[in-house]
Amino acid sequence: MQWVRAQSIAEALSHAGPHSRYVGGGLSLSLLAQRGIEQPETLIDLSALPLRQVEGRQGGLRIGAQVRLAELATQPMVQSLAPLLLEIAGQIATPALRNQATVGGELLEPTRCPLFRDPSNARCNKRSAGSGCAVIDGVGGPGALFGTSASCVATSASELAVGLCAMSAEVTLYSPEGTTERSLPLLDLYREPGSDPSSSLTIQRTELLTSVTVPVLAQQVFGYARLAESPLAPLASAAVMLSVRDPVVVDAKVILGGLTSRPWRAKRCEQRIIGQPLAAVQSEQVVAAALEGAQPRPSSRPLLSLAEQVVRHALRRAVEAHVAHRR
Amino acid sequence: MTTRAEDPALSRRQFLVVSAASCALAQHAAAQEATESQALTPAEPSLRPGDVILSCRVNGTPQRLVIDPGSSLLDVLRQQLGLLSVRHGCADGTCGSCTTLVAGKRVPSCLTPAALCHQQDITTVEGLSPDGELTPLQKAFVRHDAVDCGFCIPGQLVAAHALLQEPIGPDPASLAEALCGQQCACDKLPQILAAIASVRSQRG
Repeated sequence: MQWVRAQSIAEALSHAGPHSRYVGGGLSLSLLAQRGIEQPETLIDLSALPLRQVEGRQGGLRIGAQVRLAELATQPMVQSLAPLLLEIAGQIATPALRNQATVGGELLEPTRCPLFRDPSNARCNKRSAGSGCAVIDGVGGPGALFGTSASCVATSASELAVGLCAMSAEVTLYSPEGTTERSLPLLDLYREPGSDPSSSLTIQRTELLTSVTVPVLAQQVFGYARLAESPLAPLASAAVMLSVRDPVVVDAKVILGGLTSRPWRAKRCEQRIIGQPLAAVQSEQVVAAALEGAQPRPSSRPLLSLAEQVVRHALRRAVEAHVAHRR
Repeated sequence: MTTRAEDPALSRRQFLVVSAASCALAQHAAAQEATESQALTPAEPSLRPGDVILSCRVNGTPQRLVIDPGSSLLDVLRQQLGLLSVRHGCADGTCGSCTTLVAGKRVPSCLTPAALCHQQDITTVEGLSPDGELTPLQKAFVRHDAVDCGFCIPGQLVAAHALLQEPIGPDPASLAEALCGQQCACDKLPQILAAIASVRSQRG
């Protein structure tokens, strides 16, 4: 195993290969490597790269991938332009973990499926294709409600992504093959497991995520809610964006997290809100629409009511935010 | 100063060799490695492929260490520097017994790669009272009967020291929230929180 202290993005990319891993805060990588689930040969240390700034950019924000969650949660520009991010970042994991965890690492956090992370469990299609799935067989953990497949029910771990997808954020990526950066809507960074659950991402592991760009639009308001039983990860969460031209909602985004295979866009719910008066946003039909497409199994069926609760709460908070905004 | 009190990579390799089929070969290899390790003078460690130089200050003392790239900060502090106050607890970053200051910020050392701490200031509980006198926090822990078995206490003290410098609301709930991730199996968290609160109120 070798450790490379990259001095530039180009140098970091030049060391990327099939057995390399980029190291931001190194937390999940350490955990998975200590358990033998990750076996990297080259560790590419990103700490010398200039990726630790939050900058205002065309009315929005550009957040470097190396910004710590604790820094994001106390950053004045984030507080004034994107309080939703401040709220979410300040609730992730624990204060000590937030000091070490980076924005990029949180967005790329591997699933917290307990059986994926348990090296004594041999039946995990995500780790070893065709080995089966102990969660689907009913051993430990409810698994995801949305976006699952017959081979994998792992939940996505990033909480920042739930809020950032509601904000239509984009990520900037560099690839060892190309010399120029490209941007990708954050929602398109994640994929459903389908028949190949080996990766939860649409990008190669050699690609380097350098920043997140967050548009900030004056007419948008947000609501977020989560239910957690441990500090590490919420069981269920939801983020709602409403764009209102009184009295009508002209645009909406509803993103579910926690019990989904990826940040999950509840399109039917959005369709039910757009064009409706603000007063209709909190109707039970809207909440029910957010749960359309759920694939409950015996162990995950009880989560449906949790999903309902977080959606209801997030919708209510978005409406309250609009009312406060209008004053 | 360079220290190589214990070499985890070497002991791991010895273990692998000893568990191999040929016992005679294993003894030979182990003996050879033992000779090699004796040949290392503390001041001039020889580098093996992959070894990383970690220059940092630990509790105020400059250190230049040779580490394995896969070592956690916890491994290095305990095994190479003998700082056993940094506890090996849950190993998944949630119990807080290995909490250590890096550049003044508290982090879980069990999941922090040691190589990331290059050129940083690292502080364990020993570094909080370099003159050996109990700090106000330590005295408050004693006064509030916050210590039972003591296993988690070094991590609690490091976390408490850090959080007194963090922007935390004045109410008890904010303080409890700030201590989230610091567990105590003896159920002394109420006393620990009371001890921290007393120091906080003294500082105004």
